[in-house]
Amino acid sequence: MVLSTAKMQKVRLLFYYQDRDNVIKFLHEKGVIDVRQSSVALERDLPPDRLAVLSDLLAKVNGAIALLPARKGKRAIKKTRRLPVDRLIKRVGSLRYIDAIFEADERLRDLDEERKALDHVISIATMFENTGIDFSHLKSNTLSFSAFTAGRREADAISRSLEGRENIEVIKREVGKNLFLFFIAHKKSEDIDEVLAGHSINELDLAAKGLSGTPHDAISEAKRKMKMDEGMSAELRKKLASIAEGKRDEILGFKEMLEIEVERASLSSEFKKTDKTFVMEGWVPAKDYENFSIEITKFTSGRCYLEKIQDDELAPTLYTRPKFFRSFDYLMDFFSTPRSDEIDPTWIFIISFPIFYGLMVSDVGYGIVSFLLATWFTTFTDPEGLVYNTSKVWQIAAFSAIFFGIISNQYFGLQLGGIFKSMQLFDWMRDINTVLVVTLLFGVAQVVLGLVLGFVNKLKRRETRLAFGRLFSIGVVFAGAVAVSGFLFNSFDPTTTLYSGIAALAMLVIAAVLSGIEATELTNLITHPLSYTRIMGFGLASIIIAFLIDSAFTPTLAYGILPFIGLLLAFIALHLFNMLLAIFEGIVQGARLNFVEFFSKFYEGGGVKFKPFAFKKKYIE
Amino acid sequence: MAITLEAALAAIGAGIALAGGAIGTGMAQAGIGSAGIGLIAEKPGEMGRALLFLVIPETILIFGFVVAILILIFSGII
Amino acid sequence: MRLMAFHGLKAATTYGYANARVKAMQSRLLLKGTIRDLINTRDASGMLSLLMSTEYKEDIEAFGGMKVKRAQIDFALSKNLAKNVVKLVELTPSGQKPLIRDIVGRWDISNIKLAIEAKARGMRFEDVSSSIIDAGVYGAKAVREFMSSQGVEELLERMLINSPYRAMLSNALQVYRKTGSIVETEMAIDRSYYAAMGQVIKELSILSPESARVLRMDMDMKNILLLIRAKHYGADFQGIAQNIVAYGSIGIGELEAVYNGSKDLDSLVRAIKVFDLAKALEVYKSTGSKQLLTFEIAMRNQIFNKGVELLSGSTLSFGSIMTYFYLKEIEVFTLRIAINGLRYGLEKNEILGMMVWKAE
Repeated sequence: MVLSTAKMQKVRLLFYYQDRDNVIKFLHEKGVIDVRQSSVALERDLPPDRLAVLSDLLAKVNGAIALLPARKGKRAIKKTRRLPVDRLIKRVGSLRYIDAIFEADERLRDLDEERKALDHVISIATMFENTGIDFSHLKSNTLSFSAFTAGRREADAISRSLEGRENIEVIKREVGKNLFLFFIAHKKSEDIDEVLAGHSINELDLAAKGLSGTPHDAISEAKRKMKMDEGMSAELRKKLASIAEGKRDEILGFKEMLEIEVERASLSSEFKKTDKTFVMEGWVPAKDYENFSIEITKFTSGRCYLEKIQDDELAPTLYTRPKFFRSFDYLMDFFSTPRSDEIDPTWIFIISFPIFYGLMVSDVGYGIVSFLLATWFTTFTDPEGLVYNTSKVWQIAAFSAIFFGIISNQYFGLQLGGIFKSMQLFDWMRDINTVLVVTLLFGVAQVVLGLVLGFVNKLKRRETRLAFGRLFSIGVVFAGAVAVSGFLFNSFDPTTTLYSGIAALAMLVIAAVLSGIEATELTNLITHPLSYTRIMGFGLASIIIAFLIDSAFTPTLAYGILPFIGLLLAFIALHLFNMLLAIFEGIVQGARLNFVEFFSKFYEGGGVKFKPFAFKKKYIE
Repeated sequence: MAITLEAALAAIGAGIALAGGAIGTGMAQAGIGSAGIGLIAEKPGEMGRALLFLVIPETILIFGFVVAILILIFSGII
Repeated sequence: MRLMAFHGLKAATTYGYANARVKAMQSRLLLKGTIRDLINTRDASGMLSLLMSTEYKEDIEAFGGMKVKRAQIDFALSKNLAKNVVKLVELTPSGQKPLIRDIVGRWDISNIKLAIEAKARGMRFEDVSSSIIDAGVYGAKAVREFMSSQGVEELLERMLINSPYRAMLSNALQVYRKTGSIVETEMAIDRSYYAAMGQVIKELSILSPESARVLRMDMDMKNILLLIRAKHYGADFQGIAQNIVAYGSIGIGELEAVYNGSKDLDSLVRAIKVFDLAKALEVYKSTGSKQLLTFEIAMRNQIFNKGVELLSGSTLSFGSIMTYFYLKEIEVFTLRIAINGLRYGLEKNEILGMMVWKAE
């Protein structure tokens, strides 16, 4: 049916202990069952010991992949031959290049730390050049040595504080613009902390590794070590790059294999068992049940028992739409997957979203640019990601924007003559009242549709009171719409307006009583249809801004070539800005009107997606 | 063109209606937006939901806009 | 009414971002079921495999090259904690950053004391690395660097350099130079730390009274441990009075009365009302070695539970940040206990006895 998801069947499968691994493999390859934990009151199976080993190897492999330099450019994938699990464990466990990757990375990090430390040594030693201080002589039982830098003001203040103090030796020199180095030698019993406290200084670690000998010696030694380290780092990076070049596809293949085996090994924890048998439960699409039954019986040579079960567990949700509309399914999941026992409103979303978007953007030029932008996004974004799927939906909605642009004669904000004018059916500025009423009617129509679907959903769940609450809410919307339009626009005679108003109020009270706690939603019966007038609002705003841009910035040669270029740039930039605003609001508000104003009337969501026990292969044969 | 006092007052009224809606929306979205950013920082996959919650208060703005338009219509400015 | 609405708006804009982030971070903490499974695992590989389906996955993979699985989990734990603590400080509103830095600074203090004690006993960095909590300025890298010093004095001198704890370390250095005693030095560090905590409690009393209450319990724990240790060794109150910290919920007068009024450890523990130590006392009496650690663990667990109980309802306030802090601390302790349980072959019941469950 159009407004429902696929019918699912819960099954219980009983099979022999000795067939466990083969059955799991078969189910994984078939990819038709969504396995759940069995509800049967038996002992839970423990995962096989090899799960720990496999997880360990997978962690190792994933860690190694993360350390490899990124691949530059696209290349054909070299697939790896599939290995049985025991050989896979042995093979991956013995891969030397994985250990080499970790060792190289650790060494690179150590070299990096060393270089930072050597940099630090050089910067300290440079400050001490020509002071006559030898770092090797700074170890003493009776004396303490401190060194720090300070700005000019701080330095002056510190100098004043240190004046007149006995048992201390101070060297002060300027080492940079308004930067002073202090070197203080003092008896251990002398506390100079109170002098330094409250001053903003940068202390230097005189015991740092590498600070030995004279400053000149320390600098030379540090520079020599740095050069050596840089050479070693370059070699290590080359090594990592060469491993990445030669082994990336292989290691990705092993990763895929390990993921499959981990998934299979983990599955056991969903099983219950006796001494010789296993029980497993899961969901299959009802239309696939017969085939599945035949295949599993054939595979196990009749050594299994499959039965249908009926219980209270909510079936997973499986969409039945053609692949072309996959992105709409994605957006529904993004908002909230429909429950399998409620109405699936995706088709209504597929129709209404492009209409709302089209009206809000309503410009041929903007529509074409929308389409091009959306197409561009789909070329480099992840097909499983939000941006890709939104772009796919956006591509479809762009045609609607072009359509509404044609019938409103809007071409990058300009109104054209001739054949374009003949195709015009309405004008945004002139027919604003009409557009307002039309958008309001959209609101009433979609809200009423939502209430009808809510009525059906509640009846399906045998929540009769709430169902009739929805029914009376429909009455409130209709009667209220008549009363309001009669009152504001004199669309109806005073008697009709009055009676509609009274009827609306009466039905509101009845709906409130029937709806119970859901009565708080009743105020939305007024506000939600009104909310659809935002379509008019955003559409008009975009038109007016385009009109203003055209009035002020249409490029003309009348003032010369430079002003023409300036006007052209401004024209393009401002239209771009207006376009992006219209597009963004079109997408967000178009989705919002569906998800908030429409879905809140009937939609529960919170369904669980059908996740078959299956895998995708990219790097393995 | 000559502007009557009534038209001027209607225009001011429309401006106040719009401004009120805008201020209310801004105040509501301030809190929602900062919470939404926090949520997305931790769970990038929740961006859609956060964006959805962010745009919910725009109804207030639309009401202000519609009232402004109605004022302009009934006062004959549009 | 208007003021309340304004206050609500202010709270939403000040704490909205932080609140959303900590709640999202909280949702990734380990579940009770996972912790139960962790205790039931037979070896480090099993533990590792369980942690691979949690927030620790990335951190475990980062150390995938390590041969010793326990060490791999240890390092992953440290890295994860460091990451989350840095995030916690980052997301705290700028006005309260110094506060949260002071609070998470307790891990720095613990590492500093560990480094001093290890240096004094001639231990290597590797002997203590698993006990380091890598969450602040004095993480594993810094401690390794400092432990290359010649002695405790040089270690303290080097720690002083550009230290956010300069005053505390400077004081500790002076004490060490005067007395040469590690115990006295550590007590000096504790005194400075808890004095700073006193200031934190004062500020928190306005910002988040529940958080202040929990921090006061920390002070109480410190004081009660001091009393218990003193009673165990038969010292008199005057000898320990200078190490009593203020700002706890029990004043020094009351502590003295309780101490002097109890003839032995048994009656002292029973006289303490702020913590329920009856069970800990039983365990203490039943173990041959008379481990005072049981009291510390019992009090620590009660503080955690109380913290979570008081703060878990906090939203749009500093309390929600503190909630995450406590929950993360519980998780860190729990994992460390589970790992050490494996290392030392402890029984399941022993391990469970030391744990506090994250309240869900």
